[in-house]
Amino acid sequence: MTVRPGLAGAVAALVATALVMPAAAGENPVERSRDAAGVLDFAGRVRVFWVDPVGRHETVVRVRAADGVVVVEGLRRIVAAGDDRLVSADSAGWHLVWHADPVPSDAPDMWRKYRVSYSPGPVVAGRLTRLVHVMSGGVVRERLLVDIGSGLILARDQYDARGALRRSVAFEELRLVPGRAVVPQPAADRSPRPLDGGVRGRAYRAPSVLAGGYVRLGAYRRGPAVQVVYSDGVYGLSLFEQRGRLGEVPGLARPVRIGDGRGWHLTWPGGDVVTWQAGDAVYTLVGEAPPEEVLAAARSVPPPSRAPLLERLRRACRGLLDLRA
Amino acid sequence: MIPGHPGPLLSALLDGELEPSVAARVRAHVGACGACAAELRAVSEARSAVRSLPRLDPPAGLFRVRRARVRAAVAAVAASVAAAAAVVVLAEPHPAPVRPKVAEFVDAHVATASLTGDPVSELVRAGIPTGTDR
Repeated sequence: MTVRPGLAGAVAALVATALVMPAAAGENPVERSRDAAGVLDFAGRVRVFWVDPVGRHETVVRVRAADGVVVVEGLRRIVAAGDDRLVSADSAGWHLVWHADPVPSDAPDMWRKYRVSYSPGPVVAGRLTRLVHVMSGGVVRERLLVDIGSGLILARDQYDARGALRRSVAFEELRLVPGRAVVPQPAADRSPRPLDGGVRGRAYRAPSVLAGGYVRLGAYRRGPAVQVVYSDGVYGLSLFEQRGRLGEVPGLARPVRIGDGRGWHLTWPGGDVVTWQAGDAVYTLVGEAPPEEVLAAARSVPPPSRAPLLERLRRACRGLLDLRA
Repeated sequence: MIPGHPGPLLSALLDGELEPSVAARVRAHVGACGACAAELRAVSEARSAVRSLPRLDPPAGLFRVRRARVRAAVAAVAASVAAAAAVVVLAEPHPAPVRPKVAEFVDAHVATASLTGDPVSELVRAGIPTGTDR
């Protein structure tokens, strides 16, 4: 069969246009992958790479999914069963860290901040992929390789503002095979309690929006801390707020400037953590966004205003009573 | 005082503090009683001896030092009261030290991020310890 060059060129141009044009609304590759992970049975190995001030690190984690339950088996084990999340890190057994009841509200539309383009991707773990570039401000933030057949994200590379690779996860083996998953019985319930979002008398000061377009999705009480959850449509941030003064600094943390004071920044395999003191509260921001965005979001948390005289008098009297007690 | 003798009235007699009629009776008694006459002489001599002692001025600066000490004490009390008031009104109780539980916070964050983002790529990163406070 012969194909006229003009027609072949037109077809190629159409295909190329379809692949690189911005995705239509509703085609969020992250959402599609989340839906796929909830219904597919699969098993595989995922290579995890990350960079921190110590150097470059790499390890392999096993993943399997069946009946809507995803199990991760690395040095720690994690189970996602519906909206429940369980973690097992030691001999103390499984901890329920999230229960279905207090689910955050939907993330904001990613198209407000990001532009996405598609192009043919390489074969990953024996499967054809589509390459998705997630860009913001003309800079590639993420490079996703999405399984054309299943919609699963098979590889995810994250870059910093200078374009340097910071983190990567990639399936190096994937088998779509039926499986069976058992949800473990938790030994301890550390799931949070949802908090009212009202301003008056609320238990936290975290604002409704952080720098970078991060919108508050919910707030939850976790023991002495309040976790306020944010999203920009692609990345999530959790701002933990607790009363007190910053005592011992987390290990491996580096000093950074936050407002008029000093904070501490550290890197974990999946993201960055910033902790600092502001007034009578200690804030800890955790996120998988690029590190400069996490820092900018931390710096956008307004410092607490000084309490009114009567409130200070009330607190002082209560403090004196506490001392006497 | 021996009953029937004027006793303390002798000193009052010398000071001229008695009513004329009483003074006349005391004098009459002293004129007839040798013991009271001797006591009157002794009281009179003692008064003269005391009055003959030289007058002494207080050391220089005695009152100035006392006034300064009083002022300092008052100022210290006032300062203490003011400081206590300032502490109560202006200061807030020193908050307790907090050590952020970074590993637990990361677990909590991963749980929420896997709900709103891609669960597999979010959760595999939590399969690796943070190495901060475990």
